[in-house]
Amino acid sequence: MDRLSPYADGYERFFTAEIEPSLAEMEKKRREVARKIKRSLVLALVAFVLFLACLVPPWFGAAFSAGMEPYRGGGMMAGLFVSAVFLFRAGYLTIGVQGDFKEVVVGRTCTFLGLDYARSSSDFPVDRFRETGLCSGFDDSTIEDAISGEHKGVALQLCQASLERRGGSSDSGSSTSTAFKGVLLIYRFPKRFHGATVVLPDATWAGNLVVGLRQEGQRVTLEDVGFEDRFEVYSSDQVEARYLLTPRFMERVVALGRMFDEDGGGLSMAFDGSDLLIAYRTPLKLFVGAGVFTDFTDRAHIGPILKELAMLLEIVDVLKLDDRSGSA
Amino acid sequence: MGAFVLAVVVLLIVAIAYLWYVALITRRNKALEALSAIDVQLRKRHDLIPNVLKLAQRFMTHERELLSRLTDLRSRAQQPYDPAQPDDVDAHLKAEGALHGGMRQLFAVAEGYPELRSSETVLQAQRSFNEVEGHIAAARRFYNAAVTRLNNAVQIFPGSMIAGMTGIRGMPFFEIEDDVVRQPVNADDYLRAGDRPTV
Repeated sequence: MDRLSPYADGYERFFTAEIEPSLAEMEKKRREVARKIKRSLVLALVAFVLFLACLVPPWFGAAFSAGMEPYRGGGMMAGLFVSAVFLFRAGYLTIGVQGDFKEVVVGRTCTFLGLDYARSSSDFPVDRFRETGLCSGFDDSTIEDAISGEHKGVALQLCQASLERRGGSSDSGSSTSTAFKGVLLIYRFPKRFHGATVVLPDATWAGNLVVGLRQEGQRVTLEDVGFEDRFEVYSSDQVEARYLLTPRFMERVVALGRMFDEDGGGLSMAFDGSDLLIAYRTPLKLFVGAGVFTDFTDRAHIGPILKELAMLLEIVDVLKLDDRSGSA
Repeated sequence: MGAFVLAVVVLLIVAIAYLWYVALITRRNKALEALSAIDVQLRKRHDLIPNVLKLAQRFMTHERELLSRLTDLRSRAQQPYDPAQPDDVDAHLKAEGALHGGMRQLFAVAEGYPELRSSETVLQAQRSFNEVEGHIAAARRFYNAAVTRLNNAVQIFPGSMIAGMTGIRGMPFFEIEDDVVRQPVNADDYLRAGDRPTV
């Protein structure tokens, strides 16, 4: 385990002492819950069969069809209701037991890395991402896995966000669409700045034209070809944008993009206040861990979580956010 | 019919020439804007230098020649110039380049004075200087990008013809002649000190 990440030195011992005993306890609970979930699913299935039998009695034979006739309406409703209740119960139990696993593994691994963890949070400043234009046009936000702390003196915050846009109300009620789904990160930036600078993913010629019209600042053309291929920069201050995006920093941003995915297509950044805001758009969830039908004590679940958490610290090192010499 | 075609062709040529002229003026103004952005940052450097020199004088008693040369370079760089005259701009930027080289040399020489290196005031001054230099480097990149666009438009036909007729000239690049950076590095010094080069 210590070799899973450069930040995991000593994790094996920590895991054995602080996490493994809790997981062994939770494993007993998981087995019990898994049995309940299976029972709920079976009952939901039986109730659904009842619903189908009432909906299309001929499928179950002519004699059955004739006998069922007086009870069809009530049977359909009862079958559907009972099926929904048991499905809801199964879902509720699954979320509960997986949440407990996450709380223990992610929470304590965060403690090992010197970070604080909360499963949900209303304090994460998601509005800053709206104001800077990284995630615009959302009405509702759901924040999960709020992590905060410091690495090499650099204050940092992370959360998984699902931002939704409310559509116009229709006959069937108001519709919603996803405005952003992914990871939001905030890092204290070592340089002082006053203007607004955003780094957005390149959206091809026509896409950039549309995106450019929505930006308050002017487009900044930079010298790094690799960076220019992947990103578009807009800033209210041409000089400050270049002060922040030095040739070395541009190389690091490209490396960061590769760390997330090969073309860095989902990565965008903004310099706001004294912070660097990073939004990474992805449909995948982080820190998922073990499923309810898998053994919680299996160490194979831990590696991906540890690597994902270590990424939070790795960004500080990749972007060298701890360099306060002013020359980075 | 022939006269009509001729009139359309002439009109088209005039329209293209006008648009080209507009592009040239826009690019020249952008380069002048970038030059002015450089001057704002250079003024910060000029304001910082007297404090740095005062601190250095206290410790670097054997470097009087270097310190007085820096004072001269600063006065030369501060002399007024006409931004519309490329030759004036060139001289101004060269003077600033020499001042930059001189300051780098000062900080390189200061490495040999342990009491200077350990002084918190000096370290603070060096941090401020690095920050200002970072802004100057950014302004220089902005200016050089604007100058490249202007010079391309001025030198490539038919821009060269229109520029010649209207008196629009290309502008000089802001290049840094940094002697300290060009010095060969003795890796042994750094390995023994267990430190990284600072220049």
